[in-house]
Amino acid sequence: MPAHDVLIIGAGLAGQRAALAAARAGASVAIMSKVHPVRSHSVAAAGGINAAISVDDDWRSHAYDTVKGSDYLGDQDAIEIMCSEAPAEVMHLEHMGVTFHRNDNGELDLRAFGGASMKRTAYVADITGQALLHVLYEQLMKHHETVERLEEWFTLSLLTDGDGCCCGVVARDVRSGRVEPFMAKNVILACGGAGQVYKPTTNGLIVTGDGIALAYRAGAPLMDMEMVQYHPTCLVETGILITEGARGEGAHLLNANGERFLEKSAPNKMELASRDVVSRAEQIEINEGRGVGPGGLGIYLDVTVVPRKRTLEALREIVNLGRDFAGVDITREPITIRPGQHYIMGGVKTDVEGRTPIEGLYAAGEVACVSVHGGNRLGANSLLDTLIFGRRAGEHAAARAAAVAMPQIDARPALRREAEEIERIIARPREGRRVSEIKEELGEVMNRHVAVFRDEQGLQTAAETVARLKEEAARAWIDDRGTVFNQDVLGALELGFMLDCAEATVAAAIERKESRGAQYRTDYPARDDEQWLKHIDISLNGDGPQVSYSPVTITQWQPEERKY
Amino acid sequence: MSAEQFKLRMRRYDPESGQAPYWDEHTVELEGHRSVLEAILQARDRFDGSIGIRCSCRQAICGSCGVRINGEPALACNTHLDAARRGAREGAIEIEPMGNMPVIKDLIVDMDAVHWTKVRRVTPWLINKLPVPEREYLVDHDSMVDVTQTMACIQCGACVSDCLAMEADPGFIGPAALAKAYRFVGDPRDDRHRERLNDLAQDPQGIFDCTHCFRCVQACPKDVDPMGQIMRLRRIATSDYGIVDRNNGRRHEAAFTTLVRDYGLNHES
Repeated sequence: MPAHDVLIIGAGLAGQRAALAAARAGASVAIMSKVHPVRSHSVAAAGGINAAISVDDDWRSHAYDTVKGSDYLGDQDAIEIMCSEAPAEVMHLEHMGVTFHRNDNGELDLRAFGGASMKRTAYVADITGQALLHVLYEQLMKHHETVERLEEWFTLSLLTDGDGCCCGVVARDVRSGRVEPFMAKNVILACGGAGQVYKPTTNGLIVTGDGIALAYRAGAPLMDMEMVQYHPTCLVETGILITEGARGEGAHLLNANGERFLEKSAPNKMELASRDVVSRAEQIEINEGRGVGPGGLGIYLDVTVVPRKRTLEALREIVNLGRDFAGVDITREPITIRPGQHYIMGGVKTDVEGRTPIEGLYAAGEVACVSVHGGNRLGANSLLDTLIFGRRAGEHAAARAAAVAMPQIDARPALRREAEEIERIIARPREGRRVSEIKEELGEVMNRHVAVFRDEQGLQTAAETVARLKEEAARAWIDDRGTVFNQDVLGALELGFMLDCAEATVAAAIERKESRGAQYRTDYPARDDEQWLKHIDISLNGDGPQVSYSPVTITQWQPEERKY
Repeated sequence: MSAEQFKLRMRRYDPESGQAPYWDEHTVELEGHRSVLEAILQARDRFDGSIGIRCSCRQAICGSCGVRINGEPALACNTHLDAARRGAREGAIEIEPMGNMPVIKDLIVDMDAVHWTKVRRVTPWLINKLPVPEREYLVDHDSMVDVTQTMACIQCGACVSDCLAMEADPGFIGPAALAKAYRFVGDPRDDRHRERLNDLAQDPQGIFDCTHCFRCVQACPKDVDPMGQIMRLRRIATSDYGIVDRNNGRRHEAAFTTLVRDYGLNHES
C-alpha cells in the first residue's frame, strides 16, 4: 500500500506549492488530483497577485485594505501573515521563472486592482494564474524524484484511525476504475472551491466542493460558508469571467443611460471599489430597470477607454474571450456583463499553519477558510492565499511527519465501502431523475436565492430545495456502466459533494441576520457588529448542519464604517 | 437569438467492449453562437451520460477539451456551433478524438504517453542564471512579453494532433514541446541557452525535424505559433550561437538557401 509523509489532494496552486514546500523540507510527498495538474481551476485566475513590493508601499497598507475588504470578518493575525510574507513569495515565484511583466526599469510592473489603496498587483498579461500554475508544474516535473504525481485520481473519502486522526484517503484511478487506499501521516486538502453549486458560475466544471465535503463528512467544521463572492464582470449568458484587470487598466461600468453609476455608492474608488460593493451597485441598476442588453439583465463594461495597444498587450485573454464568447471586439465597443458567482470565501476552518481541528488533516487555498477573506475577498488576494498558506501547510505537515509514526490501520473496510457505493450508483434503476437534472436545479435555486441579495423567505426556499435534492440525489441514475473513465459515476459523487456544500452555505446564510461583505440581507440591511462580528461555523451533526460561532481575531484595526 | 437544432456525429470508443470505434449521433438544441462543448455536454446530460470528454473551464484556458471537429483540431469550448456546421459534411458536425495520440475512451486520448513525455524531454524548467538576485531579475519588459506568448500555451495538444512530421516520425519532439523550449531559450533569466540549443539541434528529432507545414500554427487556439518558435530556435542556434549540426534537415535548409542565393531559384531535384 502506498504510504507518504504528506499526501496532497488537489494540484492547483495551493496543492503544488504545498508539495514543493513539503518536499524541500525533506518529506516524502505525493500529490493527487482528479485532473491533470495544469487543468486545475487556478489556471483561470487572470488579473494578478497582490504584494507590497513597491518601495513606497507597506505590507500593513495591504493588510488594512484586506481587513476593510473583508468587512472586518477576516482574522487579522492571518491577514498580517499573508500580507507580510507576500513580497518574498512573489520574488520566489519570479526566481522559479514566472514571466511577470516589467516596468521601464526592468522591475516587476504593478497594476491597480479593486479595493487596493495603491498599485500592488503583479501580473503576467491577464493569464497570471496560468503562468503561475504552469511554472509550478515545471517545478513538479523538475522534482519528480521527490514528489510523486498521481494524475487523474479521484478522492472518494478520508481515512481516519481509532483516535480520529486523518491517516490517508481512498481514491479511484479515473483511467482504470481501480479503487485503492493511500496511507499518509498528513493529508493536505487543496482541491478548490465549490462554484459549480451555482449556475452560472465563472468556475470550471471540476470545481465541485470535493474537499469541503470530504472534510465536513469527516467531522471538520466549515467556516464563513455564507460568504459567496459574486464577481462584477461576467458574461451574461455563460458566466465566463472578464478580469478585474480590465477595470484596473481603467475600464468603466455604464448603465443604460450611459452613467458611471458607481458615483452613487463608491465616489472615491468608483469601478475599483471592492467586489461586493460593485456587484451590489450593478444589481441595483439592473433591478431598477437601468440594465442593458436582452431583458435589461446586463451592464456595459467599456474597455475602449483603455489605449488599444495597452489592451492588446495587457488584456490579451479578454480580447479573445470577447471575440469568441460574446462576439464583441472589446477594443472598439463595450461588452455586456453582470455579477456572477466566482469564489467562496468560506471553507474548511484552519489555523494559520493550515491545520484543521482534525489531527493530520490540513487545508489550503479556496477549500480552506483561514480566514483571510472574511466577508469579501479582494481581487488578486486569492492567488496569494493559495501560495502562502499552501507553503505553510506543506512545511508544517512535513515537520509533523518527522515527529509521528506512519499510522497503521486496516483500510479494507473503507475500501470495500467505497467500492460498493460506486457499484450501487452504477446499478441504480432508471427511475427518478438523472444526476444532471438535479445539478441543474441546484445551480438555479442557489443563484436565485443565495446570491447578491438575500432574504429569509428565499433562503428557506433554498434550504427546502436542497433537502429535497439530497433525497433525489440518493436515487439519481446514470448511464455509464463501465470502469474506464466513467465520468458519469464521478459526476454522481460530485453532486453529493456539491449538495453538502450548498447545505452548509444556506444554513450559514440563514443564521447570519445582518448584512456584511457578500452577505446582503434585504430583511437585515445593516451591519451589526455587536451581534455578528463573529464567524459562523457549520459542522455535520448526524445528518444535518449544526451551527456554532467562533471569534474574529482583531489585532490592530478596529471595525469602522466601510466607504470606497 | 433562438435555439436551433444541431446534429452531432461523435466518434465513440469503449475499450471494455471489445468492439471497434463507431459513430454515434445526437441532435441538440442551442443557439448558433454557443460552443461545440456545450452541445456535447447537452447530449451527455440529456441522452447519454457515458460520452467521454475531458473538460473544465469552458473558456479556452484549461486546455482539456482538445478534439478534432470536422477533421480539424480545435478546442470544443471555443468553436461556435454555426461555424462548425458550415464546415460539416452532410449537415452533421463530426467530432473525433485528437490524432497522433492513443485513444483511451471516446474523445479522451493518452496525452501523457505522447504530449507530456515530449514536454519532459526539453528540460522544461528554468535553470537560473547565477547569482539569483535578492529581488527580481532586472529584465526587459519586451523579453517577458515575448516569452509570455509561449507561456500562453495551454498544453491542449491541438498542434500535436495535427503535426505531419510527427505522423511520419513519432519520435519528433514536436511543436508543443519545442514551443515550450523556446520559453526558456527566450528567457534572459535562463543560464543554459547554448546547451539547450545544442541539444535540440543535434537531436535528429529536434528542431530540424520540423517540415514547415504550418498545421500547428493553424491548429493553435492561443496564437502560440509553435512553428514560428521552432524557426526562432533554429535562427538563434545557427546565427547567434553558430551551432552546426550534422542533420539532414540543416543541410537541406543550407542547400535551399545557397540555391536561392546563387541562382534565384530552388531546384527541388
